Amino acid sequence: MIEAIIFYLFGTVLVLASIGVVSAKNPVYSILLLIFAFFNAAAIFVLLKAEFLAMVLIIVYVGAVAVLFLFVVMLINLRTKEKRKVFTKYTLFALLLLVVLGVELFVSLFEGIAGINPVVMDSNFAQLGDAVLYLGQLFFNQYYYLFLVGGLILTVAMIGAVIIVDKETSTTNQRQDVFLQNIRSRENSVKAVKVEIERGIK
Amino acid sequence: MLLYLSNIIQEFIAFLFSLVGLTAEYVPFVSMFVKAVIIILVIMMCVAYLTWWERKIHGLVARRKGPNVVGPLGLLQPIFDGVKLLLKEMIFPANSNKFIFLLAPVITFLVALLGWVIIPVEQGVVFANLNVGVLYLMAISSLAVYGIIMAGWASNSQYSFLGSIRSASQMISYEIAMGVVIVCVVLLTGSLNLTNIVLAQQDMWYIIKLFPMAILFFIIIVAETNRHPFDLPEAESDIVSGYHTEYSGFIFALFFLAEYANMILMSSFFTILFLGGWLPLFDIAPFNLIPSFFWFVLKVIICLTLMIQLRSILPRYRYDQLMRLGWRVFIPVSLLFFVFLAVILRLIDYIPSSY
Repeated sequence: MIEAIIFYLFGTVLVLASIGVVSAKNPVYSILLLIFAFFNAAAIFVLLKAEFLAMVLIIVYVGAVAVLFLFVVMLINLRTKEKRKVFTKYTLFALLLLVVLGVELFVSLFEGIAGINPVVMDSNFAQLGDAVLYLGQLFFNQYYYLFLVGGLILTVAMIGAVIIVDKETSTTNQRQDVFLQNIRSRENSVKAVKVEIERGIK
Repeated sequence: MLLYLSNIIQEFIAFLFSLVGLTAEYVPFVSMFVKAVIIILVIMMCVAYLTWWERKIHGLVARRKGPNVVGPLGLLQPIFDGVKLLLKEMIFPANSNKFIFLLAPVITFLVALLGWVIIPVEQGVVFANLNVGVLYLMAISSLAVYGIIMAGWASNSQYSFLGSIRSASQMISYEIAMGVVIVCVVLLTGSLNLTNIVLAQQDMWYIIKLFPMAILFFIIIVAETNRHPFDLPEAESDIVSGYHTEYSGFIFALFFLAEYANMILMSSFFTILFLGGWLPLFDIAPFNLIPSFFWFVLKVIICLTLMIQLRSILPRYRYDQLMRLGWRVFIPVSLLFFVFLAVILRLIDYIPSSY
């Protein structure tokens, strides 16, 4: 009974916050509402006894991704004053995407994505210890290959980003090299010279 | 000892319920609420006296006396400071976003308190014994950045905004290394539960087993709490006071309390992960007779004292040096150590202690 009330509470707030994300005029409010929506989703995960998923949702999306969104929005300081039109030339395209995504979601829910059978969760997996243990066993035994591939893709993306940024800044910025500073000694950086009067150093 | 105390509270509430004539059904709920209030009050007192302790240590380092006028040894100083802050006027800058300006300190303060829900101070004395405790703490510490960004943006001031941007990038960068170090601990323990992590250290504390990582983690928690020598978000010398330049009175007090509450929280986290939580130094007669709660408090105080000493003896980092330390030193070192540890554990067929 209480669980149902809490679920509908969080669910309603989640939907309202999501509507707010797309309808808020100030983009900063949009992102704050998005974070709020993430929180409500995490709360629903906790209700479903998927604490691990809830925590990962908060760490990854709220702790890292949304911070970057907020950064970008605050830095470019969007202040749109004009009224936004509901229908633009992209509306049709958006509707098409919506239909495709919806169909994909339903197909994957009922049929299973090709090649991957949806994991049938033990209804009493709590007896196995905890959900983290269960997830870990699935990740590192049954699906270790997919897990490795996922990790590899992320690593490649990260290295790519670092290289792009590094190339652009290394020529323009003066950068401190601690190693060079530490190997500098008095002998090869300071020279004692006898200065002739009214001549100076040549 | 604390377990008895918590039982006594529950009994007392049950007794009150029977006096008024209510059913015993809601006793756990009400006692949970009462305990939460007690925890918050205790944390606030700890924060107040942490400021006193900090000023005393800075005084000792600089060969001064520190606060010594109000009350014996200056012990009433934090209370006077608090009252002064509460009585001051709250100033809202012109053209600031009032709603977010007010929301920011509230979020910062709330997040600083939320982490305490899962800190076990003694065997079985914990508000919520979560199975994903470590992840919960990571999530909470990643939230702390929001209050700061929002404060910086809503203040409509360049200093504040610069401070908040610095703080956000600093906290995000150091969180990665922090996660890797925590994974090293979790590899040895085989559990994300903080109580299990402490119990796994009964034969040897992790500060010995994972010595280099413990030092790394200590530096990371100093950076995560925006403390000296990494206190660039509020560097007085270049950006006045960072994200709380425009705050005054009670809303500034919330930021202040949150910073110190975070310090204590992170020190407790370090104590639990590496210093064996409430476990005594040696499990023999004079040591294990002392109540385990005092061991916990002692270790937290040692951590805090170290953090405060860092502030009084070290110069401030420059911003690019800070980023270099985070990305080019801490992350590679912690990742290498993690791989090294995993390989060694695999080679000796190590079975995590709480598996």
